[in-house]
Amino acid sequence: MDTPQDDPPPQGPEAEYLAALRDGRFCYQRTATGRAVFPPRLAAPGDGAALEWAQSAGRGTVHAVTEQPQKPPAPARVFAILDMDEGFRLFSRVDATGPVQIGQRLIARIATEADPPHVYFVPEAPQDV
Amino acid sequence: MSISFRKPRKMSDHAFPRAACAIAGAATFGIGECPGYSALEMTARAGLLALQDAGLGLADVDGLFTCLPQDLLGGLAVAEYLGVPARFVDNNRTGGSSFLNHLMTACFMISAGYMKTALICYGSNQKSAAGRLVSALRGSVYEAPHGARMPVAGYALAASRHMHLYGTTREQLGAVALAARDWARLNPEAFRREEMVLDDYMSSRMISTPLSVADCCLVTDGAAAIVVTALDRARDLAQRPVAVLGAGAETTHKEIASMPDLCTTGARLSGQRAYAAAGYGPGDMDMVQLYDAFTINTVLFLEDLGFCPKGEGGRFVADGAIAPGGALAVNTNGGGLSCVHPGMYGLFTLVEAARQIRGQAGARQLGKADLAICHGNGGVLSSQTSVILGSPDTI
Repeated sequence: MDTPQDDPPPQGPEAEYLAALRDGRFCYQRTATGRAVFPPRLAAPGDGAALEWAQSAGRGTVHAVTEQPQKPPAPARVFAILDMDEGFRLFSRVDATGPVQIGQRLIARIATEADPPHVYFVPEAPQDV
Repeated sequence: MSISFRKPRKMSDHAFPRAACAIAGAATFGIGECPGYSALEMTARAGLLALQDAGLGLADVDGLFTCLPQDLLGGLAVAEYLGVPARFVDNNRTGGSSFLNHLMTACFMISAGYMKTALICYGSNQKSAAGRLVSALRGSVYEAPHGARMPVAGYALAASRHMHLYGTTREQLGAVALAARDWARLNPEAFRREEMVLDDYMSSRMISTPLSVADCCLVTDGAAAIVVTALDRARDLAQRPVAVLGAGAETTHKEIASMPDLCTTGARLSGQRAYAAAGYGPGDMDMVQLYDAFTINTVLFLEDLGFCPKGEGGRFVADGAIAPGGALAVNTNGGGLSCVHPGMYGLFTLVEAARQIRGQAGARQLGKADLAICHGNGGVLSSQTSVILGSPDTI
């Protein structure tokens, strides 16, 4: 593993990630060998490899999905695990007007003003209404 | 003075002290609704009942293992409340698997000679006090802002994936719920004992697709405790000893997005470790007592613990195969789905197995009840711990 020898950054990766989101950038991390890591960490899990930031294109595929009905008249809320094109996986709300299927392509939006800021996803292709 | 260090043994699943320790006492208290009692009081009463069951007293307890629903330092609270001379307090909290981890640690410590008698106890008044699941889970900034109801969403995501890959159906998940209910109907202590048929299951309110209310564990009060001591000592106590033959654990993640494979849990490794230590395999088990927080858990754990191939769990549980009179006895008390779920169910798997192995399970008593695998789950399929218990004949 790479032993940290430099001075530590002024803030941790979580704060850096959130700061980037506030600036409208959705970032993940990767190792020198191209392995994607998310959520952000100080070192790659398992081998402690050094990590660098990269910006995600925000495109991913639904790996698993669940829909939680709400009290009427609120619409059901959809949550998914996404396989991002860059090779990492995350959990997110999906804003969709129709059913969301495993294998469906989604694209990220960023709630920059939310506390904490976060990404959520919408269908990549316009949905049939 | 010279100090010599023994060379550490090679890490091995066989390092577990097989049959060195036994469950000498077991008890439950306040299953269902227990108004007027605090979680601490329920825990203490279960502990006292388990000691009485074993024929031991508080002065015998030198190791205390517990975690309370909301008091993160609950181990200290229980030690003070009971006034036990604890040489060691373990407040390990890995969710519902905590108590199987406690048992694993206690067996190592007792067999190593550090302590003689461990009391493992737990109680929760979540139904009377809060009326909902009291979970210790706290979401990260990557999960919490999405506002999903957790932990059910995590299990629902795993279920959606299992259905997608293996064709598992809601009817098959329903078979898990119905089997649990049929067992509960034989258990006077169980909270939900009214008949449930497939129509009831299929029409129950959806919580997080594909999981409905009938796929989710109960919200109840309840307390449980076991007393663990050396097997040789347990032979001279009040009850027929229940030997701890093997144990193993594995942790794969905390939040569901970081689970390496949504359809394969750490139970595969925890089970392998427990079987290796015990010298028995899944085909030898007379019963399975597993943490059925949701119906999908039963499917996943039966696969991962070796009772059927990966992906076959749904078909395996269909048609009453795990119900009373079926091919494999699973959760003979009614489980978290129909007997009791005070927030962390794991300890109840051990109590039920002990009662079955001792032949004290009443109308639900199995004809042959010599070997049990108990399986605890914590978080969102995150922490997995397996324990194999056996009658004296299995040692």
